[in-house]
Amino acid sequence: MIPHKAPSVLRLGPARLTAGLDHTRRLDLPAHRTLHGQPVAQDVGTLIAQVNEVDMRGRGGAAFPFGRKLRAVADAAGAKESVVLVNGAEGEPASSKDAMLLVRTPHQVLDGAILAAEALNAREVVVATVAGELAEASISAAVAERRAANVAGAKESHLRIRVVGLQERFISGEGGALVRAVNGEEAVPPGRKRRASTSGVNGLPTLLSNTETYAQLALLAELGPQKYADVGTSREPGTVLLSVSGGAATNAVVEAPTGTMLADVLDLCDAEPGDGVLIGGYHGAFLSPETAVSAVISREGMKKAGGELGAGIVVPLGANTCPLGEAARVTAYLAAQSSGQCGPCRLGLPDIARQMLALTDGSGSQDAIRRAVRAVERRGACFHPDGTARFVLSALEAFEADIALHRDYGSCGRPVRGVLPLPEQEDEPEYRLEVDWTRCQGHGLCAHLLPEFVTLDDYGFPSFNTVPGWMAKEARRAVDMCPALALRLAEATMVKTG
Amino acid sequence: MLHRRHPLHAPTKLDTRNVRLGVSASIAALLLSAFALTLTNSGMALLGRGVGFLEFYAGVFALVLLTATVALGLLTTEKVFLSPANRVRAQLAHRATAAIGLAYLVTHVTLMISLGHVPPAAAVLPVAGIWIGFGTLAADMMVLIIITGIVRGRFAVTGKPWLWRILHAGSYLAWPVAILHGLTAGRPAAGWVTWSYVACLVAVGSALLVRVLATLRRPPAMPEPVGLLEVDNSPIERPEEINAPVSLDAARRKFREAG
Repeated sequence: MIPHKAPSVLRLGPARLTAGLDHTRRLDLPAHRTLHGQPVAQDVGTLIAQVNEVDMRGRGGAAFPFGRKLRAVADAAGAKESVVLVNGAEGEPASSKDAMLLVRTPHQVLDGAILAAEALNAREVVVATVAGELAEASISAAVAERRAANVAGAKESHLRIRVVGLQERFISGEGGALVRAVNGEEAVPPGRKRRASTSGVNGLPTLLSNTETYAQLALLAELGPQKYADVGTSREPGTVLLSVSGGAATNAVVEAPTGTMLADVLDLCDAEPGDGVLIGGYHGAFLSPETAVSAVISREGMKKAGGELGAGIVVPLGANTCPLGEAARVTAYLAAQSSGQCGPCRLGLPDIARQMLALTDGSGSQDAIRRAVRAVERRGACFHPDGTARFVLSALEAFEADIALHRDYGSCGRPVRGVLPLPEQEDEPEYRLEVDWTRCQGHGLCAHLLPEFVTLDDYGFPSFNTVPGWMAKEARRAVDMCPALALRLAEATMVKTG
Repeated sequence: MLHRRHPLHAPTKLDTRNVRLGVSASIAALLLSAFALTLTNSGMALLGRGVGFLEFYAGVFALVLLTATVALGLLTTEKVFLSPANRVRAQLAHRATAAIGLAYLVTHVTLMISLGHVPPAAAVLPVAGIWIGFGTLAADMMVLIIITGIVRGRFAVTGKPWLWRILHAGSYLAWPVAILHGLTAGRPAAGWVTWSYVACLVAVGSALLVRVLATLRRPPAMPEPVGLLEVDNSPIERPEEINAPVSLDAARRKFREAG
């Protein structure tokens, strides 16, 4: 039984990755084989030639040529072993295409990964996805289905497939962080870049790419380059998966051939561009409504419109939310998602977020934000500071009129509706210092020990603020040291914190 | 801006990772070097001398440190001379001397038993004569009192702080007994040692007396009276009858009277 949480699917043009999903929630192995047939193993040379013929790119956002990646891993591995790693840990709150593929058509992804793995003579296929989500259950079930089919006499590949559940964070989808997480280290980007193609999972050459890339690879092998290039533009043939959410009436993953108008996609999802359309996720850029109408879905077309297709995230804002407030909200989220390894990012991003907040109530200035952005750009181990900088700068540009309203009136008169999706926030315990006033003598030791949370009045008696969970140790020390034994620590009501 | 990665609020620099690492490393080094010394004959001789020194002086150190602990404990509630910062420091010093003193006390007791000066039962029960018995009694009480000090926070939470005060104040009883033990058991003390202990006893005793008297004789804390406005009891002056006509008849009469 598949819960109804499974992401819904819409399409423009022919059904490729989403074939068969109109009638069923999830394609199990027999259904998948009926639709797509049995894949035929190929050697590396043919595979790379096919991939290069249609100029297939990585679909995770960086659009790295997949053929070059395959070639690099094949060269690095030589006669040795290698690993194929499927990146299904999106991290992007607005993206749902990886989850859609893993939940609804997991065998398409596995087919592609196994195709690459057999061509590269890889040791195993590792699927990294978010722990505890539907996607993890579905892909694990898919692996079990294949094993059971083999026992029943089917000719599925015997290659080992390992599913790794990861903690979801925004930066956990970054390649280096993902490899570290799969290796059992902390999921943060490494300080020195190591190419996964030379040293990845367990130090072996690793083919690391996005879920959709592998699904497209399986499709390419099934159809052949000629038929694969039937749809789409001549320079970027095939289809792309777009995650449409936000102000759209129907949130869905849309499969569309490249060259489709963005306006058509928005129409399909009953979405109005409103104040702008965010393209490429929270490291992407806003398109103004005028450019969004004429923009074309393809890497080239988006670049022309001033954005970046990235991982195919499309978030129309709609007309009844405050766009600047939305952008400020996301900036605060991005700042909190810094792993804190690199100083400029750890200190600079919260600074940008505060400046954005100041802009929404009319007290900040765009110049201050530009200065703060310049302090973080290209100064981190991963793309996070740069991506955040791009997001903020494009928001400044796209919402010029709205910013002017905020500067003049302190608000644009519209509430912030949370159109740009953010993940559920975790509950963090908070503590309250309670005092027995009949015992308190005004010694003032608590104010000395917790200067930020205890203030003394003119008579020397304390008043308290709530103490966050990470200060509980210091608060307990203050309780221990109260000379009058008048203090105690109680848990305050749970509150939502970033 | 307060952030969990920038703890501006740490009241002491002693509770940091580096200090902990350093302390653990030096303790480990000390233990390892003791083990290393047992490997050679001269090392064994050195260790023997070390044990001999501790046999004589561990008890003295324990007594001196616990004396300091009692004095510091009395000092921690001092509001007249000490600022809050110094009171926090006094508390930290109180705990530190208590911990080190306890370590010396344990060393002292272990050595006395393992070297065969007293039977093992003397560690908890006063079975080895009256003067050593005083020491046993004092040690038991001190250990209990130090435990109450460790779980102090619990007493504040459960709402029985007075119980904690009574238990913890047991130190004022245990400590003179310990001094008595120090002066009478073992080798006879030098004159100046006796006199310094007596001086300590007198100093702490008088400070304690001042504290107790101050607590007992302190007038109950009452709100400061605010000067009331004076009540004016003079009779209310009646206004004279207003000389205005109340009716047309009265007005005519008045007019006629006036002519």
